Formats: sequence, C-alpha cells, structure tokens
Amino acid sequence: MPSATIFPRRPPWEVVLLLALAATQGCDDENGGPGGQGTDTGDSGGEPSDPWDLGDVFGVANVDDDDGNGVTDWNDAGPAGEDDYALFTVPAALRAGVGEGESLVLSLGGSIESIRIWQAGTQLMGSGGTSHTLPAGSDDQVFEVEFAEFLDQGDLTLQHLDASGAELRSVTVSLQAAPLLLNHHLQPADHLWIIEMNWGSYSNADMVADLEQILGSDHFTAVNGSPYNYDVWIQDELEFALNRAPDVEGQVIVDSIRSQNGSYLDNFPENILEGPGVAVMTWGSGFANSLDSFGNLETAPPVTVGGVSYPHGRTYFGGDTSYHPSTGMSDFLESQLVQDMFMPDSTWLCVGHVDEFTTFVPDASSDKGFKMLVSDVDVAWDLLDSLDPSQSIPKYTSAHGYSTIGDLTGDTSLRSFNDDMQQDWIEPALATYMQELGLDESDIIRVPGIWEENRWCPPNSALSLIPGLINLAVYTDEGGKGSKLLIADPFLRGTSQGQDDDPMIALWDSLMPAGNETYYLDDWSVYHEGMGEVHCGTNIRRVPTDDWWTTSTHLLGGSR
Amino acid sequence: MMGELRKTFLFALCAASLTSPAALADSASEALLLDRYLAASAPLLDPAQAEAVTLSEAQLEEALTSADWRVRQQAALALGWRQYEALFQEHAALQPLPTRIDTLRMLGSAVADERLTPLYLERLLRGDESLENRLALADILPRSGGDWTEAAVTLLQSDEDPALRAMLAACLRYGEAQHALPALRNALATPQSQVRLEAARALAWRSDGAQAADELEAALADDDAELRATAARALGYLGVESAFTALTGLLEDADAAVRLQAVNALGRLDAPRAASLSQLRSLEYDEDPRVARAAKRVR
Repeated sequence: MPSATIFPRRPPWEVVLLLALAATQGCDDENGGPGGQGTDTGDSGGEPSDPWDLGDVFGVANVDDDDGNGVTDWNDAGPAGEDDYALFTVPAALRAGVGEGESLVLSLGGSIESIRIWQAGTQLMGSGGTSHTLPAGSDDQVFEVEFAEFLDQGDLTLQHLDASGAELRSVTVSLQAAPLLLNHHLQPADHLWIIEMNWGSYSNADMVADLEQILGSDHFTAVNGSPYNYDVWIQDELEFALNRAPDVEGQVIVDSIRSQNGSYLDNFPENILEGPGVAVMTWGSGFANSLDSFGNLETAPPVTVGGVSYPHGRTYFGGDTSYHPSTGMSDFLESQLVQDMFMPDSTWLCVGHVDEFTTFVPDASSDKGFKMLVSDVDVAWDLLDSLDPSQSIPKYTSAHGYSTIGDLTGDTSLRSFNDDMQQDWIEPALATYMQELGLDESDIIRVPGIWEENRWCPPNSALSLIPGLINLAVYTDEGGKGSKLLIADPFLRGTSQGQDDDPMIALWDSLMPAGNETYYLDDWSVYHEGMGEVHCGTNIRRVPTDDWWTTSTHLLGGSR
Repeated sequence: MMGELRKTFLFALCAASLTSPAALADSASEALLLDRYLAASAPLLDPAQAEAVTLSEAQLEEALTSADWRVRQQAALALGWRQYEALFQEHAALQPLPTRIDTLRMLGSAVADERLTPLYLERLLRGDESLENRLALADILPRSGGDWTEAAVTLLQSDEDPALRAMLAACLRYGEAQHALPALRNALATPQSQVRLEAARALAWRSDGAQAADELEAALADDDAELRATAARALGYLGVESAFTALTGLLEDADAAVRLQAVNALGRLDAPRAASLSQLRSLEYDEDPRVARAAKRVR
C-alpha cells in the first residue's frame, strides 16, 4: 500500500531557508513586484533589498487532522505535528532599524475570526486580539499564520512607532489562504486506484492484472472490494484536490455525498487516503442524485478565455437549471474562483456524467497542450457503414440485441436516436465547452460514440452502446506531454479476432495525439454492463505543476 | 403464498378459456408438466425437485415443442437441471448487483446465457422475490435470449406490480413479434401510465413497431406529457407518415419535450412539408433553446 501522502512535506530547516529567501527577495507576484505595500519603500535597484519589502503570505486552510484525533486542526489548536501554517518573518535587518524607545507593532485585519497568528506555540492574534508588539531584540521574528477556510483573506500591518506612538513607517502584507484546486489531465499522474471485484463471473481480475502491468505495482493499487459492498465506482466517490501554499503541500480528498453513513465507498477516503496533510471533506448534503457523483465533476486543462488566463484550468460540473448536483458542492466550487466552474448540460445522459461524452488528453503539438475529445455519432456511423455488415459482434448480442454490424447500421431507430442526441444535446453542450474554454474546432477531436436508450434509463436519455471509449482514464506522463490512455475495449469484432483486428481500436489509435499510448481494457461485464467504463472505475492522483500564488492571484478578485 | 397466487391466476386463465388445465395439454407428458407447473408449491429451483419429474430426457425434449409455454418452461427447467446442474446451482439464487445509477442488475460474463433463461423465468414467475430482484430477472431475459416472450406477455397482463409490468413491456422491445407486438399494443391502453410509456418506448425500437401506429397516434393525446413525447418520437422513428397532422397539433404543446419530439418527428417524416408549417416558424423563437434550435434545423 502506498503512502497516503505523495508529496514530501518540507522539513523545518527547509522552511526556514525558504523563509529567509522570501524575506530577502520578496515573494513576487505575477507582475514581478513585491507584494507588500509600504508607505516608504526606500530606494531599490542596485542597492541591498529593503528589509521592509515583506512578501505577501500565502497559506492553506488548516483542514487536515495531523494528530489523527478526529478533530480538524483548526478546531484543535496547536496539535502535535502541526505543519500547515504559513510563515511570516520580521527579519533581523528590519528590527535593527528600531531605535531605543521605539517599537514594532503587528496588527491583523480582515477575517480575524478565521485567521490566527502564532509564535512558538502561542496564539498572538486572531479571535481575541488583533495586535501584538514585538519584543525588543535583533533576531528574526518568525510568526505562523493559520487559516480556517479556503480563500480566507486578511492583512498584517507592521508599524514602526516612535516613543510617542507616532508612526514612522509601516508596511501591510496580504494574508491569503489557498483555493481548493482540482486536478486536470495535464498534471502528471502519480497513482491509480481501482476496487477489486471477483464475484463469480462478475470479475475485473483481468482488468486489474492489465493495469498493474501497464502502470507497475508502485503506481497502482487494487483495493479489496469486500468492505465497500463491491462498489466499483471509485471515480464517482472522490476527487483528488490540492491545498497548497509555498510552505505547505496538502491534499484534500473531496468525498462525494453519493454514498453516506458508511455505505458502499463512503469510508474509502478515510480508510485508505486520509492522513497528516491529507484531509477528507464533503460539501453538500441530503439526497444525492446521479449528478452528485464525481464522474460528473472534471477539470479542463489550463486555458486562456477572453484574455483571462486560467493556469489551473476550469472545473466543469454537469447539470442544468432544473436538474443539477447539490448546490452545496457546486456553490463551493464556484466560490473557489481560480478554476471558475461552469456547467455543461449532461442531463440528457442516463447516468448524467460529463465523463461519458467529453474528456481532455495531452497534445504536445498543440499550442494549448491538449485536445478535447467529444463523442460524435457521425464519426461512428462513418466507421460502421464502412464495415462488412455480416461481421459478427457477439459481445453485443446479449448486452444490446445486435449480433452483426449490419444489425447496428440497419436499425433506423438507432440512427434517429443518435442523430437526435448529437443535434439536441451534444452539439449545444460542445458549444458551451468551446465558449467557456476559448476553444475552436482545431482544439477538438471528435471520436466515435453510439448511444442506446436502455430500459433502465429514463425515456430519451442516452447510454453508451458501444463501450464509451471516451470515458477513459488519462495516466499522464511526468512531463505532461503525453499519457497512457486507459480505454474500454470496444469488442467490435468476432470471438476469434483480437484487438489488432478491431476497426474501432484502429480508428481510435489514428485519432489520438502523438505521445499518448493507448491501452484497451476489458471492462465489459463489470463496468460497461454496469453503465460505466474505465474512467468510472478508476481514480488517479496527480502531482501539482503550477503554483497558484505565482500565476493565479489575478483570479481571486478584490484587491488581489 | 406467491405460489398460490400463481396457481389462482393460471386457473383463472384456464377458466376464461372454459378449459381445464390438463385438457390444454396435447400429450400425457405435457399434462404432467402442466400439472407440475400448476403445483407451484414444488418449483423446479433445485435438482431434487427436477429429479422428481419422472419423464425421460427424450420426453422432455419433445415437450419443448409444446404450444403451451408453461409446458415448455417446465420441460426446459427439468432438462436444465439434468444437463447443466452446476450452472443452474450457481444461478438459482444469484443476486443482482448495483449499477452506476444504483439500480440492481444481473451482472457478470456468465449470466446472459440462454440455457439459464428457464431458471430466471421460474424465479420471476414464482413471484416471491423482492421487486428489485424481479426487475433484474425480467431484465436478464432478453439478454439471455431463448423462450421467454410468452411468459413475459402473460406477466405483463397479470402481474400486480406496475413497475414490473413496465419493465416487461420494455423487455418486449426484443420479444418475438407474434406475441410481443399485440401485447405492446394492448399495453398502450392500460391504466398505468408507466406501463403505457414503456410500451410506446419499446415500440419505437421495434422494426415492426409501425403496426401499432393507431395506438401510438392515440397516445399523442395522453394526459402524460412524457408519453406524448415518447409516442411522437416513436412515430417519427417508425416513419408513420399518416401521423403528420396529429403531430402538428403537438407543436403547441405546453411541454417543451413534447414540442421538441414533435419537431424532430415531423422533420423526419416530411422535412419540406414540416418546414412550411407556420407553427414551426414560431417555434424558432421558442423559450426552450433546444426546441428553437430543432425548429431552425428543420426549416
């Protein structure tokens, strides 16, 4: 079993070193200037740095439980092992300029109920007090800044006062807690999880074995499904997210409301993933509909839209005004600003998840670095119409009622249904994606997809007939330029034929951007017939590639 | 108790035809199997019960050709237990599993096997399992294939649970035309709206569904908007040109989904004629963007 924390947490000595660098160089914002706003910044350029050039402070919401006592660290002030504070230093060089009888006073402003300033285990400011006079001395004074919530904002003003209390100089630095950031497909993958299912002929043993071979055992975990009632839909249960700042590498496992009270995979995040630096959090409550599952919550790669850059991409959550995910979750995501959530319509799908008809794959040849894949019925019909109608497709006989390619192509109702799905739903949804992400047709790859109207589904709703190859897992390479694409085997072939003979696989391989390796997995019995595909049955943790505090503060609004 | 229910229902069927159960059978073997079927207290759900059927395999094979589906069902069950006992044992109590939308379904690479159809059918006919299980058992019938249509039709007409009847109507999309088509046409006139809806939906996907054009056209006036939309869609899919005028009336339906399906159906039946409709011009400005877009597409 891999460690629950993938990012090495910085040891104290390294934090101090970074702090010293920050103190001497400042923490530049994206415009290249110092973050602090002083009333007298003095000379610069060629001169030694002004010790009053104090950088802004970026931290994280202290939402994990470092000592594992069941109490979130913000509510468990000063727990052993606490390491989620941002650091703020008043450097020795600054203090050296304070004369006899003069003083330095720190004042906290902004969200004082949700920001605390600590020093050596003692709370100095926050709820109960908003200022602190530094003791006399000439060493570095290091303060720890703790935030309660994501995106909490405040400010810290340092005043140099004379003996009469008159201000000689001051500087104000911003205190900013991190947004919660969901991962996108250009971030390198680190680990993949799947739930093992081995119940008679209902087994994913072959798929598990294939994944282990493709990814290697260090990057892959198959979890015994028994404690989780063999709930294989791990994509739907949780979303890996980042909670990062210059001094803190944290993760949040966003735990869906789809399973509650310990049912199914509800306890998986706590049992397998939670630990110091890894918090498990849930937004939303009450009855969960299918749109609350996180196969319906994805993040597009970095884009620039209308001149606004989104270095962490944009989050999308399927739904519409009348049928949508829990507002508790979607409102929270919207509040995080940096990934500016939008809502494409996924309500026409039986299951209702965005991963059923769209995804993103790396494309190093593209200036955007990716291609968006969208399911397209015409691409599929073009392929099917080109095939021998007598070609048998035995996998489809019992599952879908079609024994040959000709059965598929000759079904006029199937063509009508698919035409309607494309025109009434997919094209308008694609238009939403293109508008929200600033894409044009050159950024899109239309991939083959055929839908059926399943008897378990509401009338006129779509479910993948040919396995949803687009519903794939993107195991991104270290450089983010390519990936291993883990895709459902379409089985558009006879029993004596292999993947090399499968025309759907050949078409997919021809459509995928260079740098992406394709792997076609047998997900038929457990996933496809269970109304999902490879993406639905897997979940991938990724590593960060971008520091929001250097690239994304323009998205935070307000004074930032 | 459920066995008694079944017995009562079957005797009612026989009474309706003024015929005794045994007299329905064409041979001694068939009579024995039919009696066996009616003796619902001893269902063929374990090998010991199957062993108690005193007929030879040859007699059972012959009974598989009976005109009475109940005889064929009993013969297939008895034969199955003799010929595939391990397979039957494995599936006699097989439980359905949750799908991604939390419905229960028989899943696994081995469940959709025509040899198992009589076993699933017997479990379904016994009626003593939960509704969720019975829905899953109905669902597996067309996936397994084989001799299931008449039994499904019988249950569609008689089962007390509208949810199961609706599922059976949905399954008849794949049923043998001789039995499925009349049953679906009749189902469009049942009081339960969910059964009517599934019947219309099933007909939309049947290559012979146009034979139910009159019933589908009548459904365009149903109180249930979802059924109106589904019937409109079916008439378009099935190319029932005679429904053009009736479909035109739905362009002003209060329900957007109905208007959308009517537009799509009219475009499918006769695009030039649809394009000339004044109502369609109005729909280009429909408050529902999908309807407006569809109207523009047709025009």
